[in-house]
Amino acid sequence: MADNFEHLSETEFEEIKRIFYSQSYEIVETLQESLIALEGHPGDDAILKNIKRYIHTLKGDSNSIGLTSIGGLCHSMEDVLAAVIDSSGCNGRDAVDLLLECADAVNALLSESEAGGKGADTVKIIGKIEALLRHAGGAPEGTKRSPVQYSEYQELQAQDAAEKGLNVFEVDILFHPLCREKSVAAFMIMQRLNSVGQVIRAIPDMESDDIDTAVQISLLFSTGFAADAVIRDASIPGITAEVIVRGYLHPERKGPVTDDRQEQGAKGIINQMLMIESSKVDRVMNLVGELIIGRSMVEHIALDVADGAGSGDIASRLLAANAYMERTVSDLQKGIMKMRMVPVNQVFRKFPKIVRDLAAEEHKKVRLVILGRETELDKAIVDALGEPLAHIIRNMIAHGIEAPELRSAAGKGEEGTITLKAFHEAAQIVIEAADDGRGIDTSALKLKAVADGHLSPEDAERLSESDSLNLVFLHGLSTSATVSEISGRGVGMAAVKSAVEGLRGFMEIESTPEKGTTFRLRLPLTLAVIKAMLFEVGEKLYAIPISAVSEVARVHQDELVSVDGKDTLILRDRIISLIHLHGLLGTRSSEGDRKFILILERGGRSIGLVTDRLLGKQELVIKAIDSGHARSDYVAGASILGDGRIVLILDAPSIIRKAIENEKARLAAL
Amino acid sequence: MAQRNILVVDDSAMMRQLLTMTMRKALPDVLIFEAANGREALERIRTGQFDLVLTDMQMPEMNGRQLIEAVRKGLGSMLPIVVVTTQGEEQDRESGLASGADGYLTKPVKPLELRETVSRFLR
Repeated sequence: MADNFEHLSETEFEEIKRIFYSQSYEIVETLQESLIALEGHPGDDAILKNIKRYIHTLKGDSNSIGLTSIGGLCHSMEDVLAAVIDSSGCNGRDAVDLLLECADAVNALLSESEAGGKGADTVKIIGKIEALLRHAGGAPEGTKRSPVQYSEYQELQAQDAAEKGLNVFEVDILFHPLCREKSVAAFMIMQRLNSVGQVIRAIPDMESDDIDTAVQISLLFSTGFAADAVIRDASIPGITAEVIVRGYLHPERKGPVTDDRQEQGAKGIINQMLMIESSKVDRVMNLVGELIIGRSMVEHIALDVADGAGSGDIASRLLAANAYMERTVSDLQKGIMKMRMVPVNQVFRKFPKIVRDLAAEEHKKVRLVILGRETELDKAIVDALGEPLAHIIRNMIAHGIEAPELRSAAGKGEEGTITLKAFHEAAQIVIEAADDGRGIDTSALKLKAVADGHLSPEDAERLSESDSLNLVFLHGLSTSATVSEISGRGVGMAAVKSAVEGLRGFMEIESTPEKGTTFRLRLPLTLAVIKAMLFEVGEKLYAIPISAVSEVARVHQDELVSVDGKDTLILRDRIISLIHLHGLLGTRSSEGDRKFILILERGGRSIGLVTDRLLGKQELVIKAIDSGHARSDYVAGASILGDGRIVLILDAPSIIRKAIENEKARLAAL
Repeated sequence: MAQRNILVVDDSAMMRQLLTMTMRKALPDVLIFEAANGREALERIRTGQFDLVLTDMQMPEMNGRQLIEAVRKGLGSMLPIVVVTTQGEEQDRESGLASGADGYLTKPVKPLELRETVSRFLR
């Protein structure tokens, strides 16, 4: 990296790099979105302006951190954009395609450099850019960087150097606007560079007169040093304005090979970063302020006690301070949980591009509709959703959506539609991906499963329609006749299913022949752990978040009194209506005389939940619960205890709501 | 020396952090504040006490030129403003200076230049 960072400590520089990478990936993604949006609204001023700014920021940041290959590529992208803006005859669609390709290249460069790789090859893409601009009839002023054709001999030299393990770079050196004696300046630069490597080719020729009017010199240069060292050596204050170094590879050689493991490592780092809306942080800061007030309330009471003053109301003042702090702590917890929640759009936004690319590859017409992109869920879940969803969408495009001719023949529009949708349902997040394609052929699935030995013919016969559909999740099962380039290697859906289950969610699948297929991912709102009170009613085990329980009363059956035909408990002069789980979930309570009443409080209302036995507090991880399995508005999820027993976690707000509704209905009936 | 306050305005969080770290090293008794665009910056300038503003030119919501004009004409303030522009984009620097900026720096910003420029305006 450039010596621009010598003044920073290692940790400071790491911090800068971390911000750079996470911000730049984000910008590239936003840029891709805007480019796709631009296709739909060619010439849209606001979109163009944003695109310009994104590229500009990428360029400035990359150059500032010493990644001049990215900076150089962005510079070329700006040229393309300028051509689009003054529509100098170049085909807008081609330009957008090229810019999208550039954005991919920037992404690749980013992950490569983040993983510690050397400067990658940007020659090809910059060549494409130049070709496009030439086609458009001249690049914008000041950017005439004609593509360089090297002689066979020069190519050989470059190849030799590369085989010796040297770096071969294309170096563009822009003269400082105030540089006068350019032939002398060029000589100085050559001298410097030839002391650390070999200049294979210089344009313009050092001997020619062109040098005095040149804006820049372009070199093909081999060296044992890295790009940043070359930049340092070639930069002379007052003489050079900018040095751009790009990796050059012989055209016949393959592009740089990226190491998957490195890439994964790099992604791991980004995932740990959490971008939080500042308003959420402010909210938490305010709550911390309130905690401090609470602490000072307690301190005052302590001082009064020490002085022997006001002893009479100490207890009530302590209770008030405690209640104040309790409320704040619970808000604080919610506030912090909220920080982990991010809009699902962070993963959905990748799909317009994925769908566009895959549809083109498969020669299909596909429209993507995204709904509920603002739905928030846990950051960890959002991060992990990308892969499985991409897999589902790939399958839909490769196998679900038919080719345009087939669709027309079937009386559908040529263009298929994939709908991505996110919404809340009870305490779960549902992510739905639906296509309007041919649907899944369950008889083919069954045949395949039998052929592969997963199933006996008799079992296959008996399999219900929905169980047959679930065969797609069998490892290694694929019915697609052709193994497509992008999906259908058969391992896909099994991996998707286990990924979703890894998030403590589960998958549902619905398919209608000729109408389409819907994959539904049911996920818990959060991966976070809740503290819950465990209890038994009848034979069944339940839990309720401890935050909902304000008090536990242990009572004898006799203490329950019936008021207006309704079970109630009188607790310190308060009348509390009771609610029985069997009314809600059909669970029969046991016949014991002693009951435990969990007092649930919300918005000043208290209700008592009647239980048979308390098992104590425990931290539970919420698992989403499937539709066949005791799903109810009153159940937020399930959890598995250490001993393997399943416990249903109740949703306190809906239970209280139900109790209040019951109460109202009863009063109305009187 | 009395407490000095500097406002760094840039839509790139990395650039803000880089400028902040660099200045913090050289100028330990200067407080540095950040804003992500012209609008945020203007709000901070309106309500705070600043001795110097370093601003990017191309930003969303309110760009550098609009910010400078709002400070000079809207607030009638002569608060020193230095524009930080990208190399090769002289038109940005020109438009900044024309709207009333007092100086400029070029990205990638050299630590030494940054320190010199900042100290010059804080003197």
